[in-house]
Amino acid sequence: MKSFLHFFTISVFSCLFLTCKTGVETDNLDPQNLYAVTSFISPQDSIIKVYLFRGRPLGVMLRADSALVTNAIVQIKSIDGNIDFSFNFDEYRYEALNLGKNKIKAGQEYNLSIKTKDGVLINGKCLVPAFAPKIGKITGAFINNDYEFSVSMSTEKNSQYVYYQQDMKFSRKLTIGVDRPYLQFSDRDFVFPKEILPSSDLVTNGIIRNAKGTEYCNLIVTVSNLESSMFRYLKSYNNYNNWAINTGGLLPNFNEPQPIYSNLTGGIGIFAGFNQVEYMQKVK
Amino acid sequence: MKYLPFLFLFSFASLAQNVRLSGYLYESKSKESIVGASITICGQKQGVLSNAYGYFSIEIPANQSVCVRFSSVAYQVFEQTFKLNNNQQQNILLSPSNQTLETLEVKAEKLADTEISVVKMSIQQIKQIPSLFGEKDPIKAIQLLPGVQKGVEGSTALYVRGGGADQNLIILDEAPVYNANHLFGFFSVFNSDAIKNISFWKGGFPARYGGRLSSVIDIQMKDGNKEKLKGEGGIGLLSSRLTLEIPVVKSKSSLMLSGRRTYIDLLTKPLMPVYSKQGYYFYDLNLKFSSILSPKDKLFISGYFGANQLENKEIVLRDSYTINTHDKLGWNNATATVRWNHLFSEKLFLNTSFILSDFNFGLSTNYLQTNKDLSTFKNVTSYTSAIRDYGFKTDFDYFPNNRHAIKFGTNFTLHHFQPRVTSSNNNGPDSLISGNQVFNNQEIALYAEDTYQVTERLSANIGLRFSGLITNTKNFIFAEPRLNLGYRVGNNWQLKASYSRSNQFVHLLSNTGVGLSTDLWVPSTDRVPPQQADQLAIGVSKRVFNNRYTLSIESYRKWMQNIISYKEGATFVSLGNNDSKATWEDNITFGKGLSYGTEFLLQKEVGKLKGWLGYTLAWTVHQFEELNNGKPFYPRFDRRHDLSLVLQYQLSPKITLSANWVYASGNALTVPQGFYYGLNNFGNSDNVYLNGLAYLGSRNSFRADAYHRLDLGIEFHKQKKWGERIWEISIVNAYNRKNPYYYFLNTSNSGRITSLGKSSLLPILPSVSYHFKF
Repeated sequence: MKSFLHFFTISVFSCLFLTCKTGVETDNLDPQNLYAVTSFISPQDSIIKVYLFRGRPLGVMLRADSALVTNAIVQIKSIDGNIDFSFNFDEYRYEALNLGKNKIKAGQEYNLSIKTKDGVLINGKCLVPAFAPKIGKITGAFINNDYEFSVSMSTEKNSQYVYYQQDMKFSRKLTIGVDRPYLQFSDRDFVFPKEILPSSDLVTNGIIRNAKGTEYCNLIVTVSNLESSMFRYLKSYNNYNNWAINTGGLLPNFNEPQPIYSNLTGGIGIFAGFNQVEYMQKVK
Repeated sequence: MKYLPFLFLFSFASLAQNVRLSGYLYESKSKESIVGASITICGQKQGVLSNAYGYFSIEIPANQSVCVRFSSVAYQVFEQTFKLNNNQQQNILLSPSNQTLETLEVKAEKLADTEISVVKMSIQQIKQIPSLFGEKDPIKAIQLLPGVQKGVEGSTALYVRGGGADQNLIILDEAPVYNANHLFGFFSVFNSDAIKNISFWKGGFPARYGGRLSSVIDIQMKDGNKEKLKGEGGIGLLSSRLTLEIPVVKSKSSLMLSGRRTYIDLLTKPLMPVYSKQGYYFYDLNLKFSSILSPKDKLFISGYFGANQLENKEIVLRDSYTINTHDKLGWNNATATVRWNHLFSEKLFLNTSFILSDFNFGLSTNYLQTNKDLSTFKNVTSYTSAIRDYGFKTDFDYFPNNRHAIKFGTNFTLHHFQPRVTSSNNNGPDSLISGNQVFNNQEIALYAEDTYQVTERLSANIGLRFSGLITNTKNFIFAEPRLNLGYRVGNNWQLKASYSRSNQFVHLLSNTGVGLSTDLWVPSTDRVPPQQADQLAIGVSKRVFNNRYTLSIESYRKWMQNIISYKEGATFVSLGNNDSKATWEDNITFGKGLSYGTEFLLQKEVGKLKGWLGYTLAWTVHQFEELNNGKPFYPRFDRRHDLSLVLQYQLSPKITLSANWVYASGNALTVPQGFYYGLNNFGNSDNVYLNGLAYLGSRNSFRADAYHRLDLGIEFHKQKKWGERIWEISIVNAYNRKNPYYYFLNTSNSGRITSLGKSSLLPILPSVSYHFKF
């Protein structure tokens, strides 16, 4: 009996060692009831867009038209009032014109509210950056058939996240024997230049190959100040694509899993603001 | 507490009336030293243990006939009466137990009252556990113990009490072994024929051990028979092995040589077409020279060399060109140790070690295109990772009296890391080399510990270790207190408790988490602080059912700081964002961990049927600011339940049956649970690309299927004129359980339907092997 009491006491003591909560909460949503939202707003956009799709579980065909959610109540609220959205079946999205009382303002906070027919509430919040970056100058020169250029830009000190995009427009009329022009980055992939900018000035270089062989060619540079959540979303989106390509479908594999950042409650996705400037340079 | 100084005084005052018996304990036939043997005065419960080299020193009353008892696992108890009036050095020979069965047991926590969370396994027992292709593996045997999680099917990685695969200090004759695996983790580098002892600590680390957070696996190679030529070996389906123990000078010095090599590549290569040849091999070579230089001096020189190589050669013939490719993936381990034992007096024993440990991993691709006009294009790319340690270590054993056994010493290691070097060149010698970082860190440790028999019932091991690291940019120094307590209640009960703090200056970066050689060993730097853990354990053990069984229960709690992980999306090859300036340090993140659980171990130690039943109920939680949105999550090898049943049955003197069954809850993985549409376009652009994105949920929120497997074995022993031969038949995964090795995404309908599949590795696998001893 004495031994049994010993054993019992010690067993209880041992088990006491186990009694604590791990603190792990898995916030997984059932893919059948998963709503995914993508909405980026800025003062420069002509249309305010909100994409809303329903998730699909594994083993079920994924098609955009069958994942559409067309009958939700979508609103963006701010101190200026509410912006109501209607669904555009051609573009697969909810839209509102970015003008008048609906005009998105720099430096203002906005709240996204979505209510689906089955009663799910999705909410998100964003702050549109107060300033757009400034494009200093674009300098360039032809070297043989190619146009090599350099873009300098500056941002406000408080703007830590900058997104640089470049595009070009060119004539389809080409000199015989010369290939189509195309954009090539000479220094590096500049999608995410710096997570935390060391200074307010940035310079990037690029090349338009075969620019000389076309009748006309314009370089279009767009630079955006991003809200931090938008930067996190885009960066994780980019990493996710790398992960998805490199896994070979194996789990686990030689890449760490990359979930896409979400700043919404009640669903997943992104509601974020940006403030951008666009500049066009005539190359030829 | 106030009586403690008096106890010390009393214990030292007793010196005057006593004399000292000291010497080495050897096995009678081979003259192998016997480690951890118990030496007591007959009828008393106090005594001393032989040290890591078999040396002991015990006080006995002077001028009296005193019976001294010598006992150790697997050996017959030996008692001798001494009547000494002066100190005497005498070596003692112990004979192996006649009852072979008695040797086949795990002796957990029996050799010293203060030892907790330690298991000492005999190599004979490891050899009786059924194994894949007859390859006996000490690490696989350790995986069957409670508190130890294995990674995935076949892996030799160990996850001890919630720790990572890098948190195990594996030492082979004092030299650390970094990636102790062959065949991508299916076998460990330890050839069981070359091994004498294994001590496995999963907590309660004495101060002499340091540098890792979760476990110590201390493996000693055989010294070699000093009396006559002995050998053993085996022929299996995968590899063959041979071990020779050669006396160089009889009773003085010996040489042990042990080799093992796979031959699948040799057998299959001739059968492959000339345009496509693949091959894999590994080999091991263990050697050890040991010599008794004088009654006070011994010398040991030991080494291990092992290599793995996977090759793929292909030739593509076209009308206008020919392409030759040659891809190689390989990794090598090498260790070397020179040790010198010296006795300053009967009370003071010294071991000095010079240690070298080397690990390197390489992946290379050679591409050669020869065109019809004989012009060529050549590309050579390579990826390498390496770590080399140079170490110096001194360890003193001081035996002031029978109540105290004091160890103290110092350890210096120069770590040379090249975590990741990639190079590429086209048509010439100019190489594009990136990531060629070299780190030379110096690790220093000082320690002292005292195993103190406070009373007949209470004993303690009290220690303190100072660990320091000097890097080019930052230095670290830590104090690591260690305390183990043992208290005997009645004749059968043992209560134990321990606390230990440890720091770790090397880290393993792993994507797969299964302990592959592609994992990167990286150092602590100014940006990567050392890992730290505090572990608390309590336990109780009792002999039950007429002393035929031993039941042990241990609970532990371990707090870990600065554990590292790759950031989300990171990989060991590419560092992301196409930024060649990024280093591995840019791709990692730090967090904390907590693990706790209770382990049950029921051992049967006598009779024809022997073995153990182990069960662990455990939780492990990690929290990283940059992972899982900063929320706590279960790491990949958090397993709630882990059960192992190991049985051996002596059917007759010639036939032994064995079986083991394991069950473990599934791993925690990050797996897509569904898909949704999203996009990354913004602004006024008309180009909108809807992308089907995987919904991953919380990190590691998917549980893989549970793992369970039954292995069976039967051995047929026969004595021959030249020695003994053993035929072994084993069946791994006897009921063909399809355990998950990895999951995969299966797409159909032009990629629009994705489902989750599971892949298994080992089907039912019977094998036959032949072993011999002479």
